[in-house]
Amino acid sequence: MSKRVAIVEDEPAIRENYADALRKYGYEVSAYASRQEAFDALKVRLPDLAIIDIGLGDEMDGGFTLCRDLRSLSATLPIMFLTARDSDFDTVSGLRMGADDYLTKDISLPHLLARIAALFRRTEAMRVTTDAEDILERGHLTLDLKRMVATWSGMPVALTLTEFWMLHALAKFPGHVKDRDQLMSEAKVVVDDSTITSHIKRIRRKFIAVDPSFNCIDTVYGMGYRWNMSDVST
Amino acid sequence: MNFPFSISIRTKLLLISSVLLAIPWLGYQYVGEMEKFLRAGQESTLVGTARAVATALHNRPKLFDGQAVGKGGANNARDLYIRSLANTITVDGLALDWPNVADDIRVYGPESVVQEPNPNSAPLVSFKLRVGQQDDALFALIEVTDPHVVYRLPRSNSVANSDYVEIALVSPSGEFNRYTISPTAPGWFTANLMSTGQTDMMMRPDSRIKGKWIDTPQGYSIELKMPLSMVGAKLAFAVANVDDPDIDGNVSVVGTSGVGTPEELGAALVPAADIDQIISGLGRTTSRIWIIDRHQRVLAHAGSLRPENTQLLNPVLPLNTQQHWGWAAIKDRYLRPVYTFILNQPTDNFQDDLKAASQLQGTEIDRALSGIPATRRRSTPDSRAVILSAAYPVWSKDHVIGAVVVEETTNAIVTIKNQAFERLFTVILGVFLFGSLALFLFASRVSSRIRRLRNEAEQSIDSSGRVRGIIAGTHAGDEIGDLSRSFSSVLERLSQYNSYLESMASRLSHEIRTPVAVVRSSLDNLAMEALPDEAKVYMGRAQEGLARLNAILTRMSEATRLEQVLQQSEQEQFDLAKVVTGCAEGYKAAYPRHTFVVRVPAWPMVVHGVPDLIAQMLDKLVSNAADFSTEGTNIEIWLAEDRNWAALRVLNEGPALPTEMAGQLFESMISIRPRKESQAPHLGLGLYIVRLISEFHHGQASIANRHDKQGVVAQIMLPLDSQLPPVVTGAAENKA
Repeated sequence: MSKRVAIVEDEPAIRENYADALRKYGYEVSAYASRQEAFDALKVRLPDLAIIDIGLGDEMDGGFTLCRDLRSLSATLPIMFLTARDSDFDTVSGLRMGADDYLTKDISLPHLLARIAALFRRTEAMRVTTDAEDILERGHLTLDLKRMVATWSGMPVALTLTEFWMLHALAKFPGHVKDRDQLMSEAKVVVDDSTITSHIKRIRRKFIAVDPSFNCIDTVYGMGYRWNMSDVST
Repeated sequence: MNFPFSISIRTKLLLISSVLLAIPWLGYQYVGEMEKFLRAGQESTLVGTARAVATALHNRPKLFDGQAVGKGGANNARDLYIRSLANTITVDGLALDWPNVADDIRVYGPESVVQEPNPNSAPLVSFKLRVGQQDDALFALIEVTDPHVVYRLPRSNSVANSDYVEIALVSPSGEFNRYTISPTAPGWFTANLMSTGQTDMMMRPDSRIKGKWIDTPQGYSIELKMPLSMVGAKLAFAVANVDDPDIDGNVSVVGTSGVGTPEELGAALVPAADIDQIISGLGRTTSRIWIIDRHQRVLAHAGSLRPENTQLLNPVLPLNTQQHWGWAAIKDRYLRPVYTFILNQPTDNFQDDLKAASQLQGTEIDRALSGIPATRRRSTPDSRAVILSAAYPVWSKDHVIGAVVVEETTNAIVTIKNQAFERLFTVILGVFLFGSLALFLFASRVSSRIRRLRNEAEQSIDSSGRVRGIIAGTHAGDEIGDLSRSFSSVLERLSQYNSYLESMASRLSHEIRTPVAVVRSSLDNLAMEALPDEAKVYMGRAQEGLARLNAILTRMSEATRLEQVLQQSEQEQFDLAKVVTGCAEGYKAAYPRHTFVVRVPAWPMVVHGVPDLIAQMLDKLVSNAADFSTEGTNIEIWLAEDRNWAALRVLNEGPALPTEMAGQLFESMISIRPRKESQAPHLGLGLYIVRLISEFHHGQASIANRHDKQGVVAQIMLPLDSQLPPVVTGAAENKA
């Protein structure tokens, strides 16, 4: 059974392009141009994934509203923002609304498809047991690559996909400095340096929320970031 | 500022207010007019006084005739004016108790010969005569210069062989009488009535005429007293000189007039008692009234030009500072001396030329005697006062029989004028002081408000044209308040426009992102199709262009994103030296074509801020330096402590900066990069980001050519936070 993907996008060319690409990839796609139209259709039957633009027609934050509405219908529905807005504020708002990922429109179609696939994989993986080889353990950190879930000393750390991939890129080779470009390609996003910095900050903050003594992500000024191995011995 | 000279508003206001200087001039004119008016008033008052006096004398010719004015007209030389004497005369032959008024003393010498001398005559003598009246008595003092005094021999009835004095008069009843005084020795004497037939024979002594004869160094002096009632219209005095009593007929006679017949006698002018009575009540303290007859001879006068109480007219009052405080003290101490110096203060100490005149002259008198009232203004001989005189004719039927002359000094007017001036100037001075002060304060306030507004306006926009702060428009309701408010609104609009411009990049990137997404998704879709090889070439080029477009979009949003980051960043203390060292390590890998020379102090340099941003800033500087340096050369990164500042310098070797751009390099969208194909796009945002970050850390960024002209040095000065120990974030360096 093919996955059903809903695209809510007011720009017809983009909507159709994405829809075409997704259909080629084997997804069943339904595309909507406005929030109301999308909500009316989706509340009847929830899709497997919703890709939502934030600005919808006249509604500046129509995507946010739609996301909230959909989240109220289902807590587990994977929701992905795909928007032209790239400010921190919008990113944070989008993720707080319960979106699983936040992408900007300069992402390439193959990247987008990879992210979608990853998202589906995570939702799939949540239901099945995890194979041992898909588990990456670094001291207190455990990364479940199938379900894309990170835990610290057994406690879950709620990371977005972008954050998860960044963390994965760092933790995969502890002690190796990953510069920003590497992190970007790992996370399959094209953003500027300060966005990477704020992503790293958010990741740190999320870990510190779980363990205040967390300091495994080092900033190597001018170069990038690395996973601090000194933690392994403790 | 471009004008050759500039005048501040304050100065202009003060200049304009100098129009106020017209006020003293107007005041001066006003006082001048007032003086004219007062003078006219004084003149008419004087004329009125003269008319009033004249009215009392009209049609009373007897008053004038009674003075025995010679019918043939006045003959000054012969006439005797018998003045009223103020003080009591002691008959002692001495002149001490006589008023020493030159006008009263008449000197008779050889020109007043009465009897033609024959060859045998003794030399002519001269004498001084003073005549006066008091209490119905006539006094006379005759001082004779005669080196050889010959007294009458006792028992001789003739006076022809001795010196003698003769008095000839016409009595009120018209009788012609002659009296001689020829004592046998100095001392008391009684005059002798002379026989009418024989001129030198004494009839009998007349005790009514008594006096004293004394010898003087010049000759002798006679003082006599006789009842005024004896004297009628005519009177004459004569002095006869005899040097040798043994020779007969050697008498030489000098006299006031001829004494032989009544016709020869001069008139005796006795101030008319009736007229005196009339005018005595009119005598005022500061005016003098003369009554003159047709021959301008003074018949009577009353009053004095000098007031009795001179204090009243003297404006310079004695200072009594103990009772004066404040304004009065200032006025007395500082202003009054100035006024006294400037203004011509009236004085009563002037020379009165007419004090004892027996005859008056002047145009006003001439005109009055011709029937027209007139006034005249004249200065005293010493020019210390001006005397105004008004003459009014006295009529008897159709004839002018005399005139009334009233004189007064203008001192009262001058005093009033001076007082008016003083008051005026004092008030004007006060008004000026307060007015100037008020104007000065007002002008200062206005100009300081404008200056403040200018400063605010200047400070609200920085050197690069960014709106730094908006003027708080004042609530003042005047034009300056309006200006301030409109400045405020202009700046606010400018600021909105500025922020619109500043957000332009992010808006633009946002707007462009959608069409880029269209292109990208279309290309990506196309890439999934099987394409001919030819098409793949174009496809690749299109994707390359798209990538570049994307990079531009990313860069464009970087600066605005950075501004957001700056607002949200949490600041901390960190060791700048460690950040710089760490970054430099990274650059060695990132820029393999350059050699990095790093000089960083071994001790920590604590700075308050965001280390990530500092690293980002250094990235931009190094990237800049690498782009502009010649390949294979050194890039030097220096960090040094300069007093309380950390000086971070990035030096590269390469082309020098164009000097005209030096100030603008830190602006947004300014780039001096030569355009090259296939190079990563540059929007000139690198140094702009450097500036944003350094300003965020309260530092300063500058870029200049190196002293050795080999390249460029960029310098960032950051304030050191040496008070607190370093808190190092991300302890990578010390743990690695």
